[in-house]
Amino acid sequence: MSKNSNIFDVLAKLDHVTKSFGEVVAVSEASFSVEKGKITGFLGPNGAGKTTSIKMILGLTRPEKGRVTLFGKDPFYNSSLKHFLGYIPEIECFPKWMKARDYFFWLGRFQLTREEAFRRADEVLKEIGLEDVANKRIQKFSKGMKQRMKIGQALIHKPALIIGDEPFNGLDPVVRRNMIDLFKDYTRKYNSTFFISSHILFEMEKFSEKVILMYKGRTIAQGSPIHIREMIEDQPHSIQITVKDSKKFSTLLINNADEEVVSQIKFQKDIRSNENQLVVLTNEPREFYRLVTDLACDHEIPIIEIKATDEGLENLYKSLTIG
Amino acid sequence: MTNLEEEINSTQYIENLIGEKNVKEMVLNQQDKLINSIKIGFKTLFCSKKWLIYVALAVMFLPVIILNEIDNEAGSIRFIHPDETFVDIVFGMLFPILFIFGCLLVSLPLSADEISDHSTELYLVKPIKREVYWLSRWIVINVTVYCVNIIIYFVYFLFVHAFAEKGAFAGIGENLDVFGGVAIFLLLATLIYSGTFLLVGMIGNQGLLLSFILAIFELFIISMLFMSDSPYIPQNNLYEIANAILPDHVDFDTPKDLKLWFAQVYVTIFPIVIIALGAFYLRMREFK
Repeated sequence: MSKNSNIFDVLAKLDHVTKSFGEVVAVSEASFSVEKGKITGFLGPNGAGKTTSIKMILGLTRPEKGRVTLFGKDPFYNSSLKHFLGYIPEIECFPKWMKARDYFFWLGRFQLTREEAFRRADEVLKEIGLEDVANKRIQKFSKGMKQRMKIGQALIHKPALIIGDEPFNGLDPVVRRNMIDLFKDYTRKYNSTFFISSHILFEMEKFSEKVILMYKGRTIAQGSPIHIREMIEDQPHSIQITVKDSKKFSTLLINNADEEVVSQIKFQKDIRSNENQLVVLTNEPREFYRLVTDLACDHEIPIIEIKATDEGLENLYKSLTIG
Repeated sequence: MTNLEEEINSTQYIENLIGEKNVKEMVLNQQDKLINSIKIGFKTLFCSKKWLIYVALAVMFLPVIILNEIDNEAGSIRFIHPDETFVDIVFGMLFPILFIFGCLLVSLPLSADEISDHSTELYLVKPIKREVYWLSRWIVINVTVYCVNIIIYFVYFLFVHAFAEKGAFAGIGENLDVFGGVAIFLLLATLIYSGTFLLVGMIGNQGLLLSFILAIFELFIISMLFMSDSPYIPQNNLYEIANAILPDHVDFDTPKDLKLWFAQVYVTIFPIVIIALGAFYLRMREFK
């Protein structure tokens, strides 16, 4: 094996990196690497430093201390590296006027020829299940459809490394599963590498080959999902589900799960959207996520959002740092 | 590898070729990316429709013109000297009141609206150099502001000639040189203000401070260099150029010591400084 190929076994790397904004330390002495051909999960509660770490890998912000490399080089002000990079941003940044196909085409043109960009736009629309709305304006799309658009634009040029900042937010369990399958397909077909940040530990565990846990700017654990699972097995998990018919869904949950899977259910309303939410405490998160997906599919109940609560995640990560 | 695409996009390809000359040439060719970014910029400005608000505001002033400028005799409206009326409208209302506001408004979708910052972030993780991205935005904003203004000013030009005393559109051909002079003036004004507003919008709050400094620099400091005994704040370099472009129609009271060559150098250097500042700003910028 040549010297170069060893370098590129690691596609991105943070080496003792620190970054602060004023007096707030966002990332502190963080070290981890993203290996070629793998799906790596990047987990942590809000404010853990995930987005800052991602922005440093993308070359959008610079580390204060330590070294960040992308394909073995400094990513800040290095546009040539971006040819092999796909990015799924957390925040929506769609021009309101653009149609789905046009959006893929114009973004694809930064890396592809005109003909190729047209062809790939249609292919990706099909892959993310939006081919029927290809000529509709993105502003008319639902939150889940917009999320799929964000995923699609990152895949358009079949990049070597795809970095996703909470790419599954706002997706219902079925679409979520489809997107995970799509990621696996890209890994298999095009040898793509995924680096995905998420709140949901047990979802990442299902398809990641490596998991990195971040808490308060530090990498507190990294390794195989089995290793991470062993560390957090005993901790109860608090999960928030936004669903239109919350009463019906809570009844289904209670009727189909034992006390370990659903230990407690609380009802609440989202302050901003006024949508109904359930907050469920579970000791069997893997079983719980499987149950939610099955119930949503069998009873055709649209789930608007599912995520671990900030409070629950905070307790979970705290338990890891304490011991 | 089953086909070329897979080969190009596989990590093996990166292992073998990144850092090599042929890959660099492919990726560093920024011309296509510049053109693509310009096209996206034009579409963004056109479809976001902020320019329409500016056009609507400018056209709303037509009734004001009718009330103030026309010679209304026995129920008919007539402009005795449509060329002079047009120049009065341009320098009395359209330019000083609306032009700068228009630059600010038209540039918003690329500089400071709710999604421009995030979309810039998204474009900069594409293989486009930051300077190239900035240049594309600068070109787009200048061309758009100029085109929109030329259309507005031409509507006014047609309007005053439509109500010319000698008959509808009489003398319009002879007065085209006046419109040409105004078009040159507009081009210079566009090059100065639209790029500045784009940069100020992208920088944000600190940009506002910078714009105040620029304004002070423009109106006070530079002008003071030429104020030997003027007791008031004089008009700026653009008006000195207007005096030269339209000598038969305007006579602005610019400082006596301000020479035309200095004004020309000033309006040439200013956009170059803005281009350089913008490129430098974006090159150093971190998205936090």
